[in-house]
Formats: sequence, structure tokens, C-alpha cells
Amino acid sequence: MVIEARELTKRYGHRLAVDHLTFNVQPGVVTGFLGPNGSGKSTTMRLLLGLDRADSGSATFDGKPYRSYARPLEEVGALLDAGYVHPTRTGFEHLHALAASNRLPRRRVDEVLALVGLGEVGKKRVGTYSLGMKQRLGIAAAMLGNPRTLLFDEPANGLDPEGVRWIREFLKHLAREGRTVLVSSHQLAEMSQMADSLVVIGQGRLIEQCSVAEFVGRFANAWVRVVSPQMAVLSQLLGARGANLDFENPNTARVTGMSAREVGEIAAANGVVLHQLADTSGSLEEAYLQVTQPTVEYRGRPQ
Amino acid sequence: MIGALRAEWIKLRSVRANIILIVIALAIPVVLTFLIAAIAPFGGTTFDREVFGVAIITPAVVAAYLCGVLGVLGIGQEYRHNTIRVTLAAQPNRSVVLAAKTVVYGLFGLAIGVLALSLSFATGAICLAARDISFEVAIEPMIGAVLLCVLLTLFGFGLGAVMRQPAGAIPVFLIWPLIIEGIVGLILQSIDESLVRWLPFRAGQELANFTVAVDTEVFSRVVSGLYFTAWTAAIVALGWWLVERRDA
Repeated sequence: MVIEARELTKRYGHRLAVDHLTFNVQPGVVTGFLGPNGSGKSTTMRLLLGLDRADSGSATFDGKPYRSYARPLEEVGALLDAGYVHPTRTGFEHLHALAASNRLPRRRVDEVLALVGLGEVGKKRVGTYSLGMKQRLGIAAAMLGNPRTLLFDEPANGLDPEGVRWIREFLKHLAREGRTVLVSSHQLAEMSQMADSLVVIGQGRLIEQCSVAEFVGRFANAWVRVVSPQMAVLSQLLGARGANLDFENPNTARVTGMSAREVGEIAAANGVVLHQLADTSGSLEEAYLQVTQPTVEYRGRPQ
Repeated sequence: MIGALRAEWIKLRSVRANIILIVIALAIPVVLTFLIAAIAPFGGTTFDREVFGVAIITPAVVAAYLCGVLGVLGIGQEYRHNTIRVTLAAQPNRSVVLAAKTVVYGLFGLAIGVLALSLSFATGAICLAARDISFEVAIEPMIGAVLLCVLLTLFGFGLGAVMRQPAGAIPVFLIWPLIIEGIVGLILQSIDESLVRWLPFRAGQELANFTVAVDTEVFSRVVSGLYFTAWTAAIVALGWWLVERRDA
């Protein structure tokens, strides 16, 4: 199932929350949805699901608007916010009502509770759940209809490290099964381990849509780390061929403008001893900060 | 639609506040009727029909107002806890959700109305008989009290849909009939006695009227009932319209 947003625009009073946003989400990969706080990610999710009405533009799932699905849980599962539960209902009752609304069998409720590891606490009131348990309940709700498409807004929020790893593997598994998975998260290290593709927005506008590798390659600096006891000789050789060197210490340099392979070949041809030679790619975090810096809405000031 | 009805019924019975309100709504006709029927000094001049009304109809009407509060919660809680977004993501056709809620809360009001009246009838009949006080069973106010319970539940639901937050809608629902109509009624009476017939809750209560004297300043039971039904339909329709077009 392909999710497609075309020229989506949403205004709240005078504030333009989403501004002519166009992107698509393909099946079979995890697509990360990135953007600073207040950049319009959650609003976009609500617009996709028809919860908020777009002022203009369209959002479709396989070409059809969400509203045209009579029993959408079998097509699209969404976790918008783990807090969207009534505290005095049990987890089971919350899911049971949802299942009933889409004519899904009651046993699916037990199945998804077991799937997310809440089998033991399904009969307890949601008010007694930790944030991590509520996240799992929200994920269970999204999985009720075993849908082909999943939307998750900050699913790792409040989960412990083991839970974070679980959700990462879970989402990758869903994508490998050929499902469409769109997930927003602020945990960039997590995102870089889980997402293959990215949609990056800032101030409601699309900044980039591309693969993670492409994004990092384009916006984060890559360098080569070289350790050599003959650094003085090496730095002259590399410098003469156009590379830039930053020294961490007299024997260690960060080389930019040249691949590790080239550095190695030059060293070998000139009989220079190397103790270490490594390609260091930039991080997603570095690329993300580079790209979103101008669009950050809420910024702390250094004291 | 059947799925949506089942979902609304599960939601109605799985919230603790609702269960507490249902218990209170059913306790009132027992406790209040018992107190009135066992203690009230019904003198020799009280009509048999009014003994029946005070002891048996009035407590059922009080229960009906609690059903109205439940109606407010039926949709207000969804907005308060943002579960409306979960509900509408599962059923994006909002008319289906609203129709299911209207049917479920209407039937629920009917069931509570019948139960409350049965409880007050049983309690009252036993207590009055034990004191050798005669009373006259009046069918019309009994039917009216049950209908009033249905209408108040739906009125509360409509008001909840319009206002969304129960913290605002519940006080409005209770202050409107108890205080606002009292004050406005006094003002209207000073202008023209018959103007009070246009107060919606005043008209609604006419459904369960059991007095022997006929008040010519208000509409008849049937017309009053239809008039309050029109108000209820209007507030439910306004609520539907707003829920349809607002962001969830």
C-alpha cells in the first residue's frame, strides 16, 4: 500500500502548520518521518487519517482517501499518541471496543495483547499502566486488524532500552513482510538503525525525501581516520594530492576529500606505515541537525 | 453499523464513572422513594394521585437527570481523553459513529427509565401499603417519566457533542433547568403567565406531570412532550453537525 500526500496544507488560525506538503511512503521499507518539535509531523499524521480536515491538498492510501475505508483497521493501523485512552478502562476493553467497531473477532484482542507483551495486564485499568505499557497498548491497537500499512508517531517514547530495541526489530520485521511503515521519532540513533527511507520536514514544509544513506551522504561530512607513526611524511603526500587534514594528535588525522582506499594506496606506494585506516561516515544526527537548523521553531539559548 | 453499536455499548459499560452513575441512578428511586413513602406526612387532603406522583414519579425523574449526565459523558469523555481520535480513526465515517451513539444512548435511557420507575414503583407501593396510605396509579405520568429519561439522555448527549468538555457541559446541563429556567421563568411570568410554556425543560417535565389541578398556562402533556422532543432533536442535530465538520 502506498501512502501519498499531495500539496497538503493546514492552517490553525494564523499559524500555517502544514504547508503544501508532498511526499509518498512505499511498502517494504521503514520510512522515518523526521522534523523538529512543532514542525507538523503529528498534524500530518492526523491529516492522513482524516481526523483534521486539510485546507487544501489530498492524502490517499492506494489512491483512496482514508475516509472511504469502511473498516480501515484491516488496511491501516495507527498509533497517534499513547495517551489517547480512557484511564478507567482496561487495556482489553479499550481494544475490544475498537475490534468490535471493525467487526474483528474478539480473539484478535488477546492475540495483539500477547504480541506486544501485555498479556498479563490486559485486565488491568489503563490508568495503572506506565508510559511504556501505554505505548505497547497503542501498538497493539494498531495491529488489531493485521493491516498492510502502519503509522506510528513516536512509538519508542517512554520505552526502556529493551523496549526500544523490541520496537525497532518489530518495525523492521513488519517492513520485511512487505508492509508500509511510516514512523516518526526523535531518537535519531534509533532511526538510523531502523529506517531505510526518510521524509524530513521543517515548519510544515518538505525538506527532503530520500533514502537514509543518501541523506547522510549529502548532508553529513564523511572522513577517513588515519593513524600513522610517519604522519609528517603522510600529511605532505596527501596534502599534495588535494586532501584536507585535521589532527587529533600528532599521529592521528581526519582526512577529508579522499577515500580510505586512495589514502591506503598512496601510503603503500610511498612505504608509509599505517596503524589504522577507516572510513567514517557522518551520522544521521549530524545530517539532520545540518538540514533542520534553519527551521527549528523552539530553540534553547546557551546560558 | 452493528459493529459501531457494539463498540459504543462496550465503551459505555467499561468506564468506571458510568457504572457509578448507573448505580446512583438506580439507587435514587429506591432510597428517595423509600424516604418519601415511609416518612412524608401525606395528610387526608392529599389526592391519591398526588401521593403516587410525589412518592413514585418524582424519584424516577431525578434518576432521569442523572441519565442526562451520562449522555454528556457519552461523547464528552471521548474529547476529554482524546479517544475520539482513536474512535474516528477506526470508523472514519462520523455519521456512523454518531448514529451508533444516539441509538445506544437512547436505548440506554429507555432501559434506565423503565428500571428506575419499576424500582420506585415497587419500593413506593410496599411502603405506602405498609402505612395504609391509599394512592392512585397514574399511567400517563409513568409513560411520560420514561420518555423524559430517554429525552434527557439524548439532550445530554447532544449538549456533550456541542460543548465537548464534560467539565463545561455537565454544569450547563444541570444549571439550565434548575437555575436558569427558574430565574427566566419568574421574569417571564411577570410579563405574561403563559410565556413559561416555552421554557424547554419546564415543558419536558410536563411529560411526567401528576398534579390533579390543570395548569392552563402550559401546553398539554403531549404538546409539551413534542416541544421538548423538538429541542432535544435540535441540540442533537447541532452536535452532529459540529462533530462532522470540526477537527477531531
